[in-house]
Amino acid sequence: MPSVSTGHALDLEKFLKSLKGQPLEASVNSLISLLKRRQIKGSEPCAVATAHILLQVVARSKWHDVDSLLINVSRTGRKLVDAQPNELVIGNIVRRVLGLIRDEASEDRGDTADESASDAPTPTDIVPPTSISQQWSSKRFDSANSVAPPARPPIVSSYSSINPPKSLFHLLSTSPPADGDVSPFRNSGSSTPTWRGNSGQIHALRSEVIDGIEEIKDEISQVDDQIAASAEVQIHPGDLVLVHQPSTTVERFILRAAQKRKFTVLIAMAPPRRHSAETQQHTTFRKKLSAAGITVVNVMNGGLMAYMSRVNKVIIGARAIVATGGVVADAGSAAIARAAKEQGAAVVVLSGVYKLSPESPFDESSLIEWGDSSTFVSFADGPLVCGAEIRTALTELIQPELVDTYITNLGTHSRDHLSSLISDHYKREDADFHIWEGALP
Amino acid sequence: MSESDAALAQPVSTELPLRTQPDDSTFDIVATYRDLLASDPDLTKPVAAIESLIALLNTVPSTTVYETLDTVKSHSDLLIASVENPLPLQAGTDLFLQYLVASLKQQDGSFDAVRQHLLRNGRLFASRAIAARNGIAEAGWRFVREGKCVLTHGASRSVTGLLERAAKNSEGKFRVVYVRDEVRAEESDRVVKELRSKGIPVAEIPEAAVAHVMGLLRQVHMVFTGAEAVTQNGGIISRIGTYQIAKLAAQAKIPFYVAAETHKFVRKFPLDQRDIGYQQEVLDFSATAPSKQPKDAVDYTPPELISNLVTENGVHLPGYVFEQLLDIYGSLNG
Repeated sequence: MPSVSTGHALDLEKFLKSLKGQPLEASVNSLISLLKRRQIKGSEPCAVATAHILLQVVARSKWHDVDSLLINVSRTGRKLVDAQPNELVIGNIVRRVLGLIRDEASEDRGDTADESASDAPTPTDIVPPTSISQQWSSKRFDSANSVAPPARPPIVSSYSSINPPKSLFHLLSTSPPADGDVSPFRNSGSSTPTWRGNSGQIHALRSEVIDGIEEIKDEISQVDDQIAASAEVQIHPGDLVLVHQPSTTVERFILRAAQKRKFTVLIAMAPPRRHSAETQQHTTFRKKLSAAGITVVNVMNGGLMAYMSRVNKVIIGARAIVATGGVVADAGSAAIARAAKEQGAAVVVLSGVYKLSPESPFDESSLIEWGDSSTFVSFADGPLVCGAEIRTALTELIQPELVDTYITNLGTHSRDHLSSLISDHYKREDADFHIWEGALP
Repeated sequence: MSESDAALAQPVSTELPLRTQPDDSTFDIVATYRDLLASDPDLTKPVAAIESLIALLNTVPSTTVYETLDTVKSHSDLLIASVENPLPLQAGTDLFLQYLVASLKQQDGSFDAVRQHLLRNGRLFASRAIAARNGIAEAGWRFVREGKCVLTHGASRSVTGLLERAAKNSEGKFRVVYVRDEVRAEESDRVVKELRSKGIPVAEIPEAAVAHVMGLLRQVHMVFTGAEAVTQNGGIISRIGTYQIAKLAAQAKIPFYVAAETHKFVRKFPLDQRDIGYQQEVLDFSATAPSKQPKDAVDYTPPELISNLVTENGVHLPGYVFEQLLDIYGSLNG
């Protein structure tokens, strides 16, 4: 499949071009079939396509209040997730947009009620640790004394009042218990009665949400650059760095380091497949590295352990990161990570924050994507085609214990820090949108 | 509960607000706590402690803030001293006290509002705590998929709740290995019967067989246990035997999940098995008489052995406990 690498980029472009010309429903359907046929694949193209289609949903679908917008977005999102459940980024982007809508809606509502200054939720800004105690206090005294809270503006930015509080104090606070079975729509519906029928506000909300989605799109496009910014800190002169089937993120990371440092790069490659396009790609990467004066060594995956004792760092590009810190990456990475751990080499995972999923890997096998085994066995080889079952795993899950450092566009993180990144970027009530949506009419 | 207490106690409490510890003698917090636990089988120890403290607030008159805090503190100490294992209670009393202090810091002069809120909503808190258990089941049941096999022991209501929730979705499609405790045969029978009544196939094994069963390849896919208290480093204080199951599971690379409500989080950092918060005499050397075993013995499972905590707020790494405690206490010198 020599044309795949350029092919799916073309498909993405073609799809994005087609968005303007055709009705929304048709665009959604064409994206679904593109995803199903794997004509759009890989985290970044999937994320970009999802962001674009959700922007169309917000801009063009019919909605008259926040609830119906949330329903529209999550319904479309669920269709996309169903079309390609292996690509966790699709769900991530949908959650981000849902959270964005909730933020904007509560912000506008807050402006009329009191001066609750929740800043615009740009996707890239790190929300400071919010003092939840202040949040509950103002709410509590609202209801207990029916006095408007004096001075002390709540500086809660990310956790709006429609969000179930997650502090330990939740047990003793006044807000009604928001448990798992509460529909995520009920909260926003009851708390935003002023929205209905006010076209001016709807118009404002629409443009705010669209701006927010544009920012998400910008973020996705800048991820590689921002990750590469920490390359010089991570790669030291004289290092022996091993990369595995480098993605563009990894390539840019290495190239950025190559501008300033002298080190050696080992490129681990899967055994050559029939018609593989990958070697082609890596040639340009190798040329660029050589031009920068970096020694490049190609190694086959099989003899990896022989090199590992000399390797300082292993750099892996993630396709997705699950909530526990497990990394979905190209097949072969897990063995490399384990070998690195065995020899004490650091395992560094590169990933945009948009690839970080709030989902727990309840069923690890469902995360693995199976590929086309015809790259190994030709259909001309009759006995093998009939007599043997040949499976090719395209991705696999790297156990979180094997990973030392996660580098995202927001910086360098440890495994324990991922949970706060997740809570900064996703709202709790959206975490399971692809499941609760099924119960809706 | 608190209403009836209030009705009984109000006449007493309207006496002169002298500073001579007015009601300490009349209110027996230990008895209240035991009554509460006995009356409601669904109540956890931390919540029962909180409920007793609310009942206490009902009896003492609303005097100064510091007097109230003092009373709450002294009664918490009384309560904690009355039981053998203080950690579960400490989780509740600390949370309650911190809630009082934090709400006082927030807004001056509205102590009465806080007090009224607490007095009025005593039952709400209890029902919320019980709802937390359903939250755990919702958060974690998807671990238990078709064809999986779960090993569990003890009588944690969170775990049985979670398994029952999973049974609702895939009845008879997953299996449970229950580790029997022969000292508590009755309890083991009850739990196994409960699980079987939900259509879950259960295999009972003695404690001595755990390592063997885990060594049978792919027969056990995960371990679920409950906890009496979750310590600030993410470890758990739990029924004795949990630690060895966790060790065996780690050795066999089987994920070890703990189902616990967030109100069981406690500011305690155990260093090792000797440091579980109180003196526990498991070793009773004797040349003549049979050894005595402590009732309700516990052990400490360090966070390294725990894959995930399943709380009503979702599935988290053990480090989550630290974050949450830091969030409300501000410091960790429990």
